[in-house]
Amino acid sequence: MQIVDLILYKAYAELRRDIASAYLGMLWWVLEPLMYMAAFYMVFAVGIRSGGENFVSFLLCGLASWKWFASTLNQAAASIVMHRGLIQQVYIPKVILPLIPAVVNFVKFQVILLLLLLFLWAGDTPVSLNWFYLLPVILVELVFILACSLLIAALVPFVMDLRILITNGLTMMMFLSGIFFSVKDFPEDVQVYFYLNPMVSIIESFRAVLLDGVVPDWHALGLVLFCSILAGLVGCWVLRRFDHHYAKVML
Amino acid sequence: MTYDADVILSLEHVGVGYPTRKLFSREKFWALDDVSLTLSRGETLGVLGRNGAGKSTLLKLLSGILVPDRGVLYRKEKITISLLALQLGFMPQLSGRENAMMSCILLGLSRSEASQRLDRIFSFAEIEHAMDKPVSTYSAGMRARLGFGVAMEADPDVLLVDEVLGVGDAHFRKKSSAMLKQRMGAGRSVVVVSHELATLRQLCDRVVVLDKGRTTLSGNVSEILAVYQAETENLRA
Repeated sequence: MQIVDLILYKAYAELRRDIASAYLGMLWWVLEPLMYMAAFYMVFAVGIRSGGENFVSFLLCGLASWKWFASTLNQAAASIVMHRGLIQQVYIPKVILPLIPAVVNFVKFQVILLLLLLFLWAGDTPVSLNWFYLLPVILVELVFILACSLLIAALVPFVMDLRILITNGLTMMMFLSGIFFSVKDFPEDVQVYFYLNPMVSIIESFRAVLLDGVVPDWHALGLVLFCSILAGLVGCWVLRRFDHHYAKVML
Repeated sequence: MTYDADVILSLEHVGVGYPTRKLFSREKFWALDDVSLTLSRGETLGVLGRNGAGKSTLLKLLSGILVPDRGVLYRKEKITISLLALQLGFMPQLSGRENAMMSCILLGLSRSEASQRLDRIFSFAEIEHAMDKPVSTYSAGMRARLGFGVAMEADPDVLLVDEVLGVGDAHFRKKSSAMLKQRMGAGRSVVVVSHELATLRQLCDRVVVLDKGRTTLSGNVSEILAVYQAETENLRA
């Protein structure tokens, strides 16, 4: 089986389908994140007015990286269940199924990232060469997303209840990831608990690089990377161990 | 264990069980209980069985979707086996070309191999004119023909066929059974699964009878048909 060809072509096909099935097609790649961000902008910058200056940039950095994570995870959780028909017709290594939404959403994230950078550039944030530190930050988030996707996709077919848990758990996690506030504003003994959530460190790194033009916290990112690789390996192991079992439980 | 050089697939006392949907239960439902059969290069094997005999599970086992829970499955190295699944992974919004590519890749071809075969697939299916139109605009017959064309061009060593091929109109049906026969002539093997004697009599060299997950009879077509018919009549009497 040509695994790489299969992942890439399937991802291409899903992107093509999204474009073909809406009148506005590819324009939605730009419009959807804009609407998403505008909704939160209205609540927090116009409505509640909690932030100080630069609050919009602060908010958008968090939302951009969060949306990438949450969209991928929601789709990855459904990835094996969604292809239940296909896995009854042909043998597919199940490992590849959660990787397809990961590729699709990585492509979509590029558009969001570009919009974010354009926004910062147009605003009063100084553009700096240090923005290149974003590359390792993005890499760490990618690995984290892949790990969560593999792990969740592996477990959902056995316990369907997990899907409900994930959808609602993600909403809860969103408000605990420091998108709308800075974790640093909390007392130190509370902060420790926030940092158990890897998205907190990732989002802070985005802000450190883009807003402050400083080097991200390598120590925190390294820890996230290390744990993600472990979790990803467990996910792969489960998917391979039960590779032929999914076709039996997904009837 | 050694096998005849011509044997490309064999099952010995194979069982496949499905988990029962009870929490913490290790109990299984044995869809295949004790199945033994062999398939040689260039042979067309028929599997005859009533509803619920385990035919679909057997096809999934042979195509590698499932693996045996007990018994031994031997598959010769580098043998490709696939189920004749029409419209494998089709997305109606995409063009015929894209869907054919997707199906070919799912059947184990690389992207470049798949794109090289597109012309032949579409000329076999006789829908060259609709190659770049979305599949949602195809008629049911056109889709089925495209699916059949893909399956033929993917050209597995063993093709698994479920039931009768009611593909398209009379003209195309003739063309597809000719194609199947030609494959058999070219040393490709076929396994046809059916609950009808008549279908198997036309196509197969040898027949295996599957009953409640067990292979009860095996032999050449005329022998089996005689025994099977006698049994069925006994049941009725």
